[in-house]
Amino acid sequence: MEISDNHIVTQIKQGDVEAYSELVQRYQKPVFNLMYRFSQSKIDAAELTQDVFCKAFEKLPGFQNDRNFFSWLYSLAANHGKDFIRQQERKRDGLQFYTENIEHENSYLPLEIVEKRQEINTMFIALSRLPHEKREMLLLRYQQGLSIKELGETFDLSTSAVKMRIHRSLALLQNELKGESHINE
Amino acid sequence: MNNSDTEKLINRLRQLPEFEPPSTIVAEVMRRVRPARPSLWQRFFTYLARPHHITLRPVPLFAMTVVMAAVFWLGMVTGNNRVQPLNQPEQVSVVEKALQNPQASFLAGRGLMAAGLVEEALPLLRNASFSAPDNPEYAYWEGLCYWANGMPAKERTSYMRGIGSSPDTIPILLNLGHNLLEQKEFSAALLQYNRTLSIDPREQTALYNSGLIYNLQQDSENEITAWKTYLHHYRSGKNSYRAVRRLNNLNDFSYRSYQLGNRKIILSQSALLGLQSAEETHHEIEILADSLRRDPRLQLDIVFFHENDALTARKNAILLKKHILAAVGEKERKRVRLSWFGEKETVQTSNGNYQPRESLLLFGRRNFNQEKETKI
Repeated sequence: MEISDNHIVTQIKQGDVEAYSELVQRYQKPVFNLMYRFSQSKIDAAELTQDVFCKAFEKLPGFQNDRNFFSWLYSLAANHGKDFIRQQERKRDGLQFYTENIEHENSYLPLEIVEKRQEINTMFIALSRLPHEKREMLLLRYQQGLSIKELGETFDLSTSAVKMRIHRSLALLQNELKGESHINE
Repeated sequence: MNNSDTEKLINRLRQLPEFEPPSTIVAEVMRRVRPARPSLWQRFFTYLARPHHITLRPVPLFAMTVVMAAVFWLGMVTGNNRVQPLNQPEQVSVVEKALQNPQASFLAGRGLMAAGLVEEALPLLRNASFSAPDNPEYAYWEGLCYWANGMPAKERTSYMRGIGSSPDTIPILLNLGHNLLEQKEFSAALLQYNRTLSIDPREQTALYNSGLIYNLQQDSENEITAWKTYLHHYRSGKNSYRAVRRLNNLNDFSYRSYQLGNRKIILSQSALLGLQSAEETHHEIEILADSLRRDPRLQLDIVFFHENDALTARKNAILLKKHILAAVGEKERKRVRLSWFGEKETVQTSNGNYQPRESLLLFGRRNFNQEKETKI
C-alpha cells in the first residue's frame, strides 16, 4: 500500500523534511505540464514547477489534513501560473511550440505516427481555445483521473456544478474539434 | 453530442501525452527546502550552550590525578635544572664571527623570517646578498624580506639583481611580476609572467595572474585565452572556479562548472560539444566517467541545447551518452539520462543573462531510491 499524501504531510510537519521529496516525485509531472500550458516553455515550466513546490512547502503548516493534497497543490500551482502570465504579459499562440516540434519531426517518422501526432496536435489546439478553467477541469478529470469530489475541492464547486461544467466543457471541446477539422480540410 | 461521441472524446483526452519534467526538479526543490546548515561558529556556540553530561568515576579520576601530579613534578624538576644563559660578551663575539660568513648570515636571516622577526632578519639577508651578489637565492630572500617589511622599491632591486645573475630563476621572475602587479605596472608584470611561462608553460600563478592582468587592462580577447589556458591545465582549486566564472562573465562558455552529486567539477563544454579535438573530448568524457565510477549512486542527466535544431541537439546527446557508456560500460545505461531542446539555453552570469547558440548542461544527483521505502 502506498503511503497517503496526507500521512506524508504529517511526517513533514513533524520535521521530516526529506519526506517531501516523495510528494514532489508524485506530482511533479502534472504540475510541470500545467506550468507548461501557462508558460509554453519547458525551461520556464521547470522553474515554475520548482517555485510551486517550494511555495507549497512553505505553506504546508497551514494545510488542513482533511483536504486533498493534490487539489490544494493544484490550486496553488494554478494561481502561480496565472501570476506568471500577468508578469510576463505575453500571449503566445497556445501550442505553437508543440506544433513546431511535430512538424519538425515529420520528416523521419512513419506515416501512421505522423497522423497520430497530428490528431494529438489538433486536440491540443482545440483545448488551448477553451477557457482556462474548462480546459483544466477536463484534463484533471480525464488525464489525471481526479474524482468529481476532488475537482469540486480544487475549483471550489459543488459536485453537481462540476458535473455540469464537465458536460459543457466536453460539448465545447467537441465544437472546437469540429471547427478545427473544417480548417484542416 | 451523443454518448458514443462523448466516449470517443473522453478516450482521446485520456490518451493525450504529457511532457516529462526534467529529472532535476526533485533534487532542486529539496535543495531549496532543506534548512541551511548552521555556520561553524553557530554550531560551536550551540555545542557550548548545550548542557553537557560529565561522569566522574573513581578509578579514571585517580589515574588522572596521578598523571597531573607527575607532570607537575616533572615541570618543577626541569625548571630548576634550566641551562643558565651564556656569558653575554662571549655570545656576541661568536655571533659576529659567524655572520661574517654569507651563508651563516643567510640561514640566520631566514630563521628570523620564519620566526616572524622580519625587521631583524633584514640586515642579515642584506649582509648575505652583499657578500655574495651573484647568488640568486640570496637575492630572492633579500627581496622577500624587503616585501615583508613593506619596501617594494628595494624588493624590486633585489629581484633585478638576482635576474641579472640568473635570468631563468622562476621564483624571482614570479616575485618580480607580483611586485610590478602590486604597483599596477601591468605591462611590465605581464612581461615577467610571460618570461616565466616561456620557461614553464604550466606555471600556475603566472597563468592565473596573466588572466588577471588582461582583465585589469580590459583586454577581453587575451583574457579569454588566458583563462582557457589556465583551465586547460588546472581544473581544481579556488582559482580554477574563479577562472571559470571570469570566463563565463565574458560570455565564453568553453569551460563550465557542473554540480555532479556532492562534487562540483569543471569541464570543457566545447570539447563535450565536439568542437575540439577527439583527444580533448575523450579527456572530458574520462572525467565524467570517473565521476560515475567513484560514486555508484550518481545519476547523470545530460541536457543539450541547440538553437532551432533539436535534431542536432538530440544527435549530440546520443553520441555523448554512447561515449560515456563506452568508458563505463553498457550496464550503466540507466544512470545516464538525456534531454535535448531545439532552443537556446539562458545562462545567468554576473553581467546578466546570456543565450549561447549551443550549450550543454550536466546535472548529477545521488539516487537513494534503492533504499527508500515507498510501500508499506
